[in-house]
Amino acid sequence: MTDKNHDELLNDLIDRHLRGGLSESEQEHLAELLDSRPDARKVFVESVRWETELSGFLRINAQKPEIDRPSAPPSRDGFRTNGLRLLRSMLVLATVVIIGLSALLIRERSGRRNEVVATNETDSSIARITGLSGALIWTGDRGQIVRDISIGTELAGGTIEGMAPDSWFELQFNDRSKVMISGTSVLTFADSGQKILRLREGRLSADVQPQPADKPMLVHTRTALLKVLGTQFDVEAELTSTALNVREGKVRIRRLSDGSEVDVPAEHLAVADGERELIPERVSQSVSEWKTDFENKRDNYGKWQPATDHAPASVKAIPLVPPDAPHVTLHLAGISVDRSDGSPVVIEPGSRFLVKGRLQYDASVHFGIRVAYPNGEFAGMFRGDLHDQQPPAQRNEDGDFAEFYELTNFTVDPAVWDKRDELAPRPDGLVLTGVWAFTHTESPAGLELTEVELLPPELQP
Amino acid sequence: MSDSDNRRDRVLKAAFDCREPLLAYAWSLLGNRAAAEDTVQEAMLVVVKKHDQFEEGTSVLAWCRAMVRIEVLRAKQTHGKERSLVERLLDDAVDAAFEEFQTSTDHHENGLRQEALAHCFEELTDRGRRLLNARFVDQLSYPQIGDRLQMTIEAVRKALFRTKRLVKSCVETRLEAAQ
Repeated sequence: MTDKNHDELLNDLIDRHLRGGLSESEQEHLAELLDSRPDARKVFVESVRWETELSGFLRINAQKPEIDRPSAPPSRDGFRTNGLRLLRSMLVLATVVIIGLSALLIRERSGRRNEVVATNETDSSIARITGLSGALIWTGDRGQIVRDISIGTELAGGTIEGMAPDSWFELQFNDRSKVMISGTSVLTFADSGQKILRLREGRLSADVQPQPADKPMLVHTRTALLKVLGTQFDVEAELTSTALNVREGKVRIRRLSDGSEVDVPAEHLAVADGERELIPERVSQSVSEWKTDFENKRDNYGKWQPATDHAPASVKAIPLVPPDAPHVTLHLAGISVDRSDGSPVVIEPGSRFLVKGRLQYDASVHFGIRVAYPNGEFAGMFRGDLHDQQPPAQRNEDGDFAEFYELTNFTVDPAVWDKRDELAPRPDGLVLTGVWAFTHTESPAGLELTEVELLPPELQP
Repeated sequence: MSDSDNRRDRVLKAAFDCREPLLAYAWSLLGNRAAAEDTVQEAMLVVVKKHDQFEEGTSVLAWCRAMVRIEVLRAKQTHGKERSLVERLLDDAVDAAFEEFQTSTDHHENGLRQEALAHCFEELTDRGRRLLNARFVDQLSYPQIGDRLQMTIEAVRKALFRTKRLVKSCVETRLEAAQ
C-alpha cells in the first residue's frame, strides 16, 4: 500500500471513528495501527485535535442562517444532542468559571462515587483472583472502577492495573491457566472461548494449560502478538518493544510492524522491536550481579532525568498513596529488573545491595525488592531497611548518598505479611524481578536514584 | 489575594485552557462529540472541586485528562454501553496515543488559530462551506450530505477530505507567517 493510500485509509478510519461508525474489525485494525506505529498515533492525535477545533469554530459561527438546515438527525447510542447544546455548553462553562473563581461554592459533597465495591460473584466469571498485593485498580466491563478487590474475587474480564512497583496480581482462569503481572503493568483480559489478553505495558508471567489448537491464547502488546498453545513464559512490554522469554513449551511471536513471525522454543528469548531481527536466542545462564542502567532504561516508576555534565541519569521519586493508608504519602522510585540477554538475576546468599542517589533533605531511604521462583511464579517481597530502625542516609555536601542493604537483614515486606506462609521466607537463591526505594517524610525529601546494584559475595571488599 | 487563591486561579485557568484538547480526547473515546462535551463539562466540575489536589510541576493537561477518563467511563456505563474487548483495546490505544502526543496550547495561541480559521473559512467556496457545515454543525452522514448537495457518497468523502486539508494547510501557512 502506498503512503498516500495509507494516509487516506487512516484518515477515513479516524473520521468514521469520531462518528462511531467503525465496525468491530475496523476498530481492531485502528487499534493495531495505533499500537504499532508511532506516526499513526501522532496523526491520530493531530487529526482529532484538528476536527475538534474545526467543529468548534463552525458551531460557534453557525448562528448565521447561511443554509437552510434541517433538524439534526438522532445520534447514536442514546447520547443526547439538541439545538440548544451550544448555548447550554456556554452557560455551563460560564457557571463553572464563576464557581471556580469565586471559590465560594466549592464544598466537599459526597457526590457520586468514583469507585464501587467489587462483588464476589459475577454473572459470567472467567477467572478468579488467586493472589495480589500493593495498589491495584481493576476496571471491569461498563467502566466499573474497583480498588477494593480481594483474593477469591471472580471476574468476568476487564483491565487490571498495577499502580506501584510493589504491586502484583495473579489470576487463574477456569481451566487453571495462570497469569501474573507485577509492578506498574496494565493487563486487559477476556475469555469467550478463546483467551485474549492485552499487555499494554509492564511485565506478565504465564503458566498456560493446553489450549484448543484453533483457539490459542492471544497476548497483544503494542508491538507484537503472541500465540500460546500451552507453556510457561514471561513477557515484558514497553512502548517500542516486546521481550518474550519462554521457559517451557513454545510460543509464536508476530512483530506487528512488518508481520514477521517466529516460534520461540523453551529457554529462548526473542525481542520484537524496530532495531533487530526477530530471532530466538538461547537464554544465558543465570547471573548473580546486576546494576541499573538509567541512561538506556527510562520506563521506570518515577520521573526520569537525563544525565548532565555534572550528574548521571536518574529516576526521581514520585508521590504514592498506599491504598490501605490513604492519609500517607510516600515518595517512591522503582525499577523492574531485566537484562537484555534474558538471563535471570539470582540473589546469592551473602549478597548486598548498593543504592546511590541524591536527597535534598535528610531522610531515611527505605528499600525493598520483589523476587520470583525460577519458573516465574511470584515468590515474595522483602525490605532491607526494617531489621533495625533505618537511620537517615548520610549525604555529602552535594546531597549525594550511597547506602548498603545487607541481604541477611532483609525481612518480609509488611505488604505481604499476611501471606507469608504461602510465600518464600527468604530471598536467597531466588530471581530478582524488581527493586524500589522511598522516603516517608512530611514533605518530599527530593529522593533521586542514580544507581542500584546487586553485589554478590565475591564482589564485596 | 492569598497564595492559595493565586494557586487556585492559576490551576483553574490552566485547566480551562485545556478544554479543547480535553474535548478532543473525550471525543476520540466516545465517538460522539455531543457526549464528549457533556463529559468534559462534568470533568471540569470535578477539576474545580479538586483543584487543590493538583501537584505543582506536573502536567495540568494530564491531570485533567485523568478526570475526563473517569467521566468517559461513567458516561459509557450510564448509557449502558458495554464495551467489547476490541473497544477496550482501542480505548487503550487511543489513551496511549494522547499520553504520548497531546500537547496543550495557551490562550494566545488559541486566539491566533481562531483568527486564522475565520480567514481561511471565508476563503472557501460556498460549496466548501456548506459541506463543512453539513458535516460538523448538522452532523449529517455522508449519504445525507450527498442528498443535500447532490453528490455521490464517494464524492462527499473525497470532497470533505480535500476541504479539511485545504483549511488546515491555510491555517498553518497563516500561523507560520504570523511568527
